[in-house]
Amino acid sequence: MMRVSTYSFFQSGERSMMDRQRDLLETQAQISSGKRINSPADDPVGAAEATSTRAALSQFDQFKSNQDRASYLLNLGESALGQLVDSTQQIKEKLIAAGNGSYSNAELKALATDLQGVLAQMVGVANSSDGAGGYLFAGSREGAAPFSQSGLAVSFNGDSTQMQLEVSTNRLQQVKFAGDDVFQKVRPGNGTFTTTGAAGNVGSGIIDPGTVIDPSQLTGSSYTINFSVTAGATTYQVVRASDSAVVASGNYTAPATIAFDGQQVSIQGAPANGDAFQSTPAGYQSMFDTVAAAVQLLSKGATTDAEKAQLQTTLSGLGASVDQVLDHVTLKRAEFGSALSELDGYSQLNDDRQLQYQTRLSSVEDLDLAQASSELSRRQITYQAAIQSYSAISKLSLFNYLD
Amino acid sequence: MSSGIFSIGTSALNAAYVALRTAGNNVANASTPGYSRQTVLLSAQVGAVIGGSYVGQGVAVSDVRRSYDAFLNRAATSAQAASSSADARSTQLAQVDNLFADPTAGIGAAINSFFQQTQSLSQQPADSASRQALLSSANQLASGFADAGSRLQEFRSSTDTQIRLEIDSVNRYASQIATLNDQIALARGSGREPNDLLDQRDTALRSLNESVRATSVEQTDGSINVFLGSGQSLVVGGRAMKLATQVDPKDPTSIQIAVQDGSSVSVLSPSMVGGGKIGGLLQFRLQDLPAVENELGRLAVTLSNQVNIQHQLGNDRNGNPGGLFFNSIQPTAFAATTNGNVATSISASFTDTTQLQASDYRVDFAGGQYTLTRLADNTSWTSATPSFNQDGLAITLSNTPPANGDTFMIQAVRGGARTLSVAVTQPSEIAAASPVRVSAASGNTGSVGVDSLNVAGPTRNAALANNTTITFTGANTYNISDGVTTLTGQTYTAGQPITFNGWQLTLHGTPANGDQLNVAPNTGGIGDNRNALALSALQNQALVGGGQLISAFSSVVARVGAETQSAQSLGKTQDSILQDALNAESSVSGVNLDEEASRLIQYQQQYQAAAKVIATGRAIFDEILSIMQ
Repeated sequence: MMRVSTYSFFQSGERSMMDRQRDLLETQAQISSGKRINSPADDPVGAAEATSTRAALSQFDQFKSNQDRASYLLNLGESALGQLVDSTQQIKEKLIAAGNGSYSNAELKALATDLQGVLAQMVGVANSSDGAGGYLFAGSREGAAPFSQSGLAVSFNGDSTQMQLEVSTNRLQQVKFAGDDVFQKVRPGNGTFTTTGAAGNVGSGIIDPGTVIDPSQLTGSSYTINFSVTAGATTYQVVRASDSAVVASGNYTAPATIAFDGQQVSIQGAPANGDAFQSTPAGYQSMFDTVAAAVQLLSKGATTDAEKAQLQTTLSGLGASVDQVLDHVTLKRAEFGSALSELDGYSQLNDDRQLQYQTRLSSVEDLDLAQASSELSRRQITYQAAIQSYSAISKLSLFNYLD
Repeated sequence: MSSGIFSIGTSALNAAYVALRTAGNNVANASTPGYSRQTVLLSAQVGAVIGGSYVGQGVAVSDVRRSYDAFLNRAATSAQAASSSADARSTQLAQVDNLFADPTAGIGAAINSFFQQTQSLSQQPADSASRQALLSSANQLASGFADAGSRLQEFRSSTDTQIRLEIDSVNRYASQIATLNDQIALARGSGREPNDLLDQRDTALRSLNESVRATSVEQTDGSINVFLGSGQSLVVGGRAMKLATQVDPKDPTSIQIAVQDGSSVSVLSPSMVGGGKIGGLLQFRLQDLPAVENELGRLAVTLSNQVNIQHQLGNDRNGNPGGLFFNSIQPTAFAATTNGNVATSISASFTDTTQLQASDYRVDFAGGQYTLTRLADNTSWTSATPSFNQDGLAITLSNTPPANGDTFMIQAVRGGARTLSVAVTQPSEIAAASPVRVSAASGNTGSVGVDSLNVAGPTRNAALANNTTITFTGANTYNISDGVTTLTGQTYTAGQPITFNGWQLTLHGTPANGDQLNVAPNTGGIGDNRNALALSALQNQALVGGGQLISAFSSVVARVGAETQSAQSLGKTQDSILQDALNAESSVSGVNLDEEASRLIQYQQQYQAAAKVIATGRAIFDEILSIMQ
């Protein structure tokens, strides 16, 4: 039979009371913090998972902030381009009016003044602020306004860097568009080549902006269409600048459609002997330069037939260029639009994932309060039983009965 | 004849008195730790022949003996060593555990907030408020690491202090046992059991085991010899050795335990000092703590180094090349003070911080060969030349060869967390911009466009910002020149980066003959956020041990938690084993007051009865005297 020493009886009674008290405190600490894990030792795997989940959540918070900023900037850009579309349409209307041929030089001048106003408007749009001390279209050179105007010349001081923000994991969303890309990288003419009359033309020949009929045959070279009039018969020759080859020739009767190397131009009126027209591959042309050219053209006016023909040729070229500007601006505006709708998608995704991770974090870390409270009362009862039984039993001793 | 009854009565009185005294002594020592209850052994005195029969001559006290079970005592003593060890370790680990208790503060939260601020900077790179916010969060990050690092260092020195205190008590108990040995041998010589001295010695041995695991072997003269761990003697008869701590000659940050016997000093390997508080503290001090320091240090080193690399590839607000973001951390390496050739020195540097392991390293020179050992897993590499390039570390010994048997220690990342600090002082020094920009010539007729222009690391090319022109000579060929270097007839493929002067340009579309692109210094590019984005991207790259920075931190948390949890549960198990052993021991040796009360009654009655015997003897004597009157 196992003896029990009085010393160890008191000691083990004391210990078990202490143990119960500790259990009670443990549950109480969990309840008061609302957390199941109060230090990593409570659940090492859970604590590590909570750490990673918190990191992910902090990223989602940041993506949300980036998305808000992105959407703000894209909306600003989109509305700026909306204004630009309006301006471009005004220009187009003025050029069509100028092209009807019945306008006097004074009326053309008035149109030129109107266009100058539109140009100033466009420069204003191009210098839009981003609402936080920077500019929408300056690229990375945010220290100064991206476009400066001197007379009719508008120059770009920004750069081509296009600002991006991380709107979802490893997904960079372009949020600002570089000014040169939006305002300067416009193909003039029909978008592939431009047509002009030679400066010394004396006839009334007018060339249209031309079209591309077969892109696969384009050479990227310039061409000159030379006219000669011999004994009332007008003939032409198209010379390719890159190798001086004659690529087309024939008799001219107005109006004529001339096709060569995948492109086609129409010429009407009566070119004089020695008159020439050029077709040049379209580089980039700033839309401000296009408007400036129109202002210059219209303010100069035209008196002679040759001048009138030049005016018409240049006007139709400019008209085509303005169409290109409109296409370009509309396309850029669409890019803003699609960026915005893409952003909506990321924002939705981000919200969903944020919710998922929050749920996960809470399931890892948070305490089931109902369970914990019932555990608390259970432990309370055990503790109470321990004290009561200890105090009852410890009073028993044979010495109480000796006298 | 009548004198016989008096002597019987007296012997009975005497026996009852001794028994009552013993019970009284037991009651008095009921709560004395280490006291073994004592019982009186009585024996009947050999009878004398009276009238042809043996007639009893009374009772004799043959011995007062302690109730003691050597096996149970030994079991309790060894349980004490195991329990103290587990308890000491888990108490220390719990402090480390608490360091990582609050998930919303500390290192994890600081890493998250640092990267959030790099993202915020990318929203408004020119804005000084965003720059200031990033700088503040970087300082917070550094101080989070530094605080944790110096707390760990405090744990180390407080553990050392505790070990020293425990060694003091080991020495105290050892000399106590030696003294008791002498006294016991003397008492034994007189033929009597010195019960209380034996109890005292058992108690001293038990207390010694609280500090360190020690076993004892009893000698014929009653003294015991005490041994540490696997056989180092601590007490031999009346002679006690002295333990002391000393700095490890191979590692000045570490300590070792030495034993002094007179003038000779020998070093105890940690495995010989198992158990007891010292065992638990040493395990914490030599294994648990360095492991956490190394993990945390590696994270600090890799994080700061990778941020620095990216930061130095960018340009700051003033257009200057980015400097160090964090002060750079260097590995620590030292030669053992016991080396034969003191001229040989060792140096180490980081070559690729993404390859780092959370471990210390040792270089040994023996038989003309150098051996590098990674101490975390004891992987080793040998080399005939005095340099190693391993695990992202370059290790070089100079003034070689060292003497045979010389060793060198490399603590690559141990101090990383403690020493992390921010180098950037002004918000404008934060490099958010890329040093280069690209632009297309306005005369371009092809459809070529820019996807990205990146700066490739890890070091910044000196010619990075040279004005460079790419001229396409056809749809698939280009020439490139920066005025210094000119390459012609290069092949262009859309989507494949063009690499030159340390930058990479990725393009799309088809160029036309004569189209040009220019790469130029990014002067005035204060709105450029490309380097800020690259800094943010570090957050999701596999940089530390093949995982993200935050995963490296979670694994530190998991490790500390798991070690603490297992130490705590081991502590609980050991404690309940100890309690069982103590209960078993006390069931034999402990005093039960009810039992003693009943003894008191029993011997009180015996005493009364013995007195009655004497009274009866006197009555008989009186009777005889009255007849004679």
